[in-house]
Amino acid sequence: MSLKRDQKIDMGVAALIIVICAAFFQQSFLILENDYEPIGAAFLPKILCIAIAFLAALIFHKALKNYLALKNLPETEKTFNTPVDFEKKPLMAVACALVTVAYVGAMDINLLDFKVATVTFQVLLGAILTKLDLKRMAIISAIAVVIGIGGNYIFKDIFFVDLP
Amino acid sequence: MSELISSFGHLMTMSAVIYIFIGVTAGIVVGAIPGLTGAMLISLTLPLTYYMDSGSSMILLISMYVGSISGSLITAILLRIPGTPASVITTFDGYPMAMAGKPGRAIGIGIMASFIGGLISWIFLAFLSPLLGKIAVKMGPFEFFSMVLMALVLIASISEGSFIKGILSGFLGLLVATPGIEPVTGQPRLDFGIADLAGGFHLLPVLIGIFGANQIIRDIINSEQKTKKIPLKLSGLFMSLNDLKKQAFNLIRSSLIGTWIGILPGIGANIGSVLAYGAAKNSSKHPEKFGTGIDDGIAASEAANNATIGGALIPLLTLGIPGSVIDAILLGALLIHNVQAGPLLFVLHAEIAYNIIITALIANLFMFVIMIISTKMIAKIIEVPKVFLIPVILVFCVMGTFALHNTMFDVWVMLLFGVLGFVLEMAAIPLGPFVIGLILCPVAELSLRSGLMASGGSFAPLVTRPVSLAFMIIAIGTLVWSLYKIRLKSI
Repeated sequence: MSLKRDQKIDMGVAALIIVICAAFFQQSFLILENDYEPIGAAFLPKILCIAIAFLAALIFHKALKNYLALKNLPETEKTFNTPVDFEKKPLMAVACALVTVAYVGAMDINLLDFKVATVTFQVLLGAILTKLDLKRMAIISAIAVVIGIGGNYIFKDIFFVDLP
Repeated sequence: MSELISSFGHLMTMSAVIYIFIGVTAGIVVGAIPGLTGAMLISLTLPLTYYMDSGSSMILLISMYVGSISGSLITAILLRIPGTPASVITTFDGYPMAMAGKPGRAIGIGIMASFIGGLISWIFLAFLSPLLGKIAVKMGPFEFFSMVLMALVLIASISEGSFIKGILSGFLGLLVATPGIEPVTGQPRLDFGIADLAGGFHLLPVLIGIFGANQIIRDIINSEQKTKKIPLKLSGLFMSLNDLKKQAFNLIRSSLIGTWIGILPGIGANIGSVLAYGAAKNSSKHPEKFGTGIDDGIAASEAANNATIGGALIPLLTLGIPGSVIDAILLGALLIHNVQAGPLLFVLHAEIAYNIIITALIANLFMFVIMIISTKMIAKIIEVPKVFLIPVILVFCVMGTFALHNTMFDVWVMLLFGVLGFVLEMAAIPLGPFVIGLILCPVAELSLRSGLMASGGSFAPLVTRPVSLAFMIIAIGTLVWSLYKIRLKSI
């Protein structure tokens, strides 16, 4: 990962943290205070929001300064971590995340029950991870059926947990 | 002493032995597999322990802790990929020794060093904890607040990445713990109008998200990573008496370093092994040989990282302050079972405290035997492609999170914190301080507010009470030193 990209990530995350703090700070004004306590229930959230926002602003400022300094230099290939000899798959992670959200969402709105949703989820995830390698997908499908049915049995009949 | 013997007797039951065996084995296997960590295993097991009694659940979790720290040496030596961060330093000499045709010897030294490190730190755990427990009952709210502050500053100063990011992470953890029922008046706060958030973010979904889901995201991104395998020949697995004599001083020194590092709140096994390795190298007659595959390097690293286990349990049991990130999860496990770790643990739940202490010893013995017997088998398990493991682990993350309160809200929280954990780590913001802050916020806030009510609003007791003053001096000293180091770097 290049240094310029590191600075962009730092700036983005710092900005996100400041937004989160702003939301918490705004909510803290809704907390009811009492008069028998020197500091009330709102003290800690407010102080933390201010401190975190300040630190995030420091990180943002430093990252921006570095980014501007690097802007006019040729893109360097210095890596943040040790150099890697394989291709990273961020898009695969995004696809898997979307499938996971769909899996949880389907159970949340009672579209699918646990058994069906879990087997479908694992097969879909396996398809993405193996890039439709049929041999590996057959193994993953078998594991999916065992986990789906077995997990349902263990949680419902042994632990007495009501699954979706 | 009598309580220790009595606990030993209680643990010599079939169910306790089975839990220890399962815990250590699972810990070793998970610790050995790169991409899976002890923290992930323990946080995923937490929902299962909900249906067990508190004693049995702590036996299982402590055993997993011991197993996972030790198991990571197998892949560190054979594949140059540490199973967990605790064995990063072991790769420096373990892998070269394996490449030189002596993988069995490298693993054997690692296993023996792990065992001795665990044993020496256990002695401190067994005899120091009850003593510290008696001192800790005399501590008041200001002492607890200043101790939490000290723990946060310490872990921020030692965490990887910048100090400012470490402090920010700790404060973020504190902030995330504030929504829900506030500890003094019991009113709901910071729920953003969401009914499910009235109880705050439950600990378990956050932990599973941070350690489980976050790690899975990384594993998917790094799924193309290939590993060079070394054929495993197990000759030389057992250290000779001569080897033990040569390594005796190194093993004892490294174990003491690991124990001390473990005692310091918030610092973990990887730091212990770094310092022990450094000490071994600096005091060696042949420092240039370190990194080429020598016994001393492996022995120092593995003795220290296992010694941190016993050391880290000391502040957990006596003060309720986790000595490492995994200890923070164990603290959460105790809370789930309505057991408050800290000074009153040895008074109100002494049997649990002593069970934990004895389990650390017995798990260490099991670890030694299981690793000697099953190294070859474990080396085969780590060859299982990740594509088979990832879907199963994700399903367990979802099931385990749902099972606690039967609400899908927890599952969404788990996914959210998985993504948040991943984003924070991408920006090199360490997660250790976050978890420590999350777990300790209720203690810190309740201590500060009740202390101020007692002192009439005065913050003076923070510096006028001697123990609190000592903690504040350490916290401020560490803060100043870390800021000074930042200033030096920027010059």
